[in-house]
Amino acid sequence: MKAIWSVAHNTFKEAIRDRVLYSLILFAILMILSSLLFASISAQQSNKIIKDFGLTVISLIGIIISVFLGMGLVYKEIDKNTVYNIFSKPIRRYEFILGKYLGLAFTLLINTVAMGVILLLIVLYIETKHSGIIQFYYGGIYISELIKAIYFEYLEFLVIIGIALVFSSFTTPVMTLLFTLFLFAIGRFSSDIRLFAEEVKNPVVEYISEIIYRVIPNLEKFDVRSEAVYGGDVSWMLIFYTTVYAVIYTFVLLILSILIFQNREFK
Amino acid sequence: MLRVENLVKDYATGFLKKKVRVLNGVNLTVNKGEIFGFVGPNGAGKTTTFKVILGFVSLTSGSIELMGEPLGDVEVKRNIGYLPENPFFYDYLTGEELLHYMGELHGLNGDSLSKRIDELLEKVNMTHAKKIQLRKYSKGMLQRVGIAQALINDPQFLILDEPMSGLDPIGQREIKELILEQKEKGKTVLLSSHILSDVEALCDRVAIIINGRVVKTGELGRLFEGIHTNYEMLLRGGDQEALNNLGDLNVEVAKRAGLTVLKFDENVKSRVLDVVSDSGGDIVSLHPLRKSLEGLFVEEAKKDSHIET
Ligand SMILES: Nc1ncnc2c1ncn2[C@@H]1O[C@H](COP(=O)(O)OP(=O)(O)O)[C@@H](O)[C@H]1O
Ligand SMILES: [Mg+2]
Repeated sequence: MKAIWSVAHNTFKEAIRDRVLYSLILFAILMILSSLLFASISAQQSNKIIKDFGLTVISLIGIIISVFLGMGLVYKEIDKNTVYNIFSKPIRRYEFILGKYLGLAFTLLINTVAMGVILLLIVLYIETKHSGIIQFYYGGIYISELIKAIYFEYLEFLVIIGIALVFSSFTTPVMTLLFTLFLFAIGRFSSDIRLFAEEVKNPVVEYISEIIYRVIPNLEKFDVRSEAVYGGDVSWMLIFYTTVYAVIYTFVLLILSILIFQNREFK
Repeated sequence: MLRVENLVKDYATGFLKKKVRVLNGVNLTVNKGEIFGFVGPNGAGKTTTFKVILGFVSLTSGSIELMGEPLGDVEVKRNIGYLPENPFFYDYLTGEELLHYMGELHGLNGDSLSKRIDELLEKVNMTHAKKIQLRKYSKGMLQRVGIAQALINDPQFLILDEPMSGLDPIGQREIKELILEQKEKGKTVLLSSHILSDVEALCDRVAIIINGRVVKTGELGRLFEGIHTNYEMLLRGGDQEALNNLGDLNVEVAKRAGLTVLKFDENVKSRVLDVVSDSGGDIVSLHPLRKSLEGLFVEEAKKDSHIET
């Protein structure tokens, strides 16, 4: 079991020593900061823009990191022959897969927190500037809603890493990238696909869309941006259910990765 | 320590998944406490055999027993050290960090691991590169740190795939000493090489693998029994006419630095000596030419093709 942490730790180390990651995070932070330029407009308006924009940047950068680090997650270890070192040690294959997953999940946690804190500070700064006292409640919305939205975005990253991990366990980074983006797109539009199928009124199309709807994670569930920005109720119940949804999906994806990797030959 | 019986391995290659037989009956027995050499030309199947033994690839047929356990027992690996061929490591780690990671996978940690790492880096002369990222290592340095990581758990059984490759002569000698030291400590070593001289002074026994088959196993000296030895003689002066006639006895005659060089099979030795003394030449030196591994390979490959045709 300790081996899982060793692998996770090393995966994290690899990620944070990667210049690409730094550039992405730096880019995200600059984007979020640049939204301060809007701050000169009326406070309430600018804050909505900043929140919406900030959440979008965090989501986008998080997804890019998940996919781009996820696609080489297992492949690289096989391609560069490091599996020969790892598996000459007393470690089981499932421990390795779990470690790889946790390492990247932790990397994203750190990055999301970093980006999120910056966004929160900016929003807090603007809301406070106008009233002169620290404001956690402004324009009818608690700032905690923003934290919930960021948390939901992180849950989505967890699922996307899982998807990338499944493909990375048996195919090349490019194929993983394509497959993952494809599933991501379907996942983001899954209710649209279902609506479309209902319109078509063809039993085959409806059947297929139903399968897609049930099998592919519905990533729309992780988008509560409009609630956080324009007001709406993100209840504890919703948080609980969405968390369970993400955990179950991730669990299934991990099992799948392990099953694939279990019999993988390191030629 | 290790018993491999009738190991067969097919690889499916290419788009059509065409089967290629890479190992075709490998038999090996490595006994406790010995240094065992696994020798054969490139592409003979040494690395593949190791990969099967360590569970990296599945076997097509045959049986393997590793330290008394059937294949696939993870716990066995607690007592094994392995150096892969052409080691590559995480290039973003320093030498120390790599050893630390590898040690952790063995369940080691804390001060005892740090101490072990320092010891090993000292042993392979890599202390100076402890804090340097592996991306800056040369091939020889990677080989050294690769050997260090194989030793991190003080293994009972050391499996080294081409341990001398990438090292300069000094490095090679150091590694040989290190391997002998392991034997003195009662450990068992299995190493592969495509160069006979690498294993000559080192191994108690060797197995020779050609085209996926072990064709000979035993003490190195004995492997060449029954194979004729060639001799080389250096000669000063002598009647050239007489010497040139030696060609009839299948003797190679050549000139080198003012001397005459004769090469001949041992079964014509006495007749060559007679001719040479008659010619009045002065023998500068006469020594047997050790059959080279390459010669053995060629000979075995010939036998192989006889069987097939
Ligand atoms: N992944 C693979 N797929 C197909 N053939 C392979 C693969 N790996 C090695 N081979 C073939 O197996 C043979 C043995 O290779 P190898 O075990 O690496 O030899 P050695 O280590 O003795 O040089 C070679 O002919 C090689 O081409
Ligand atoms: Mg090899």
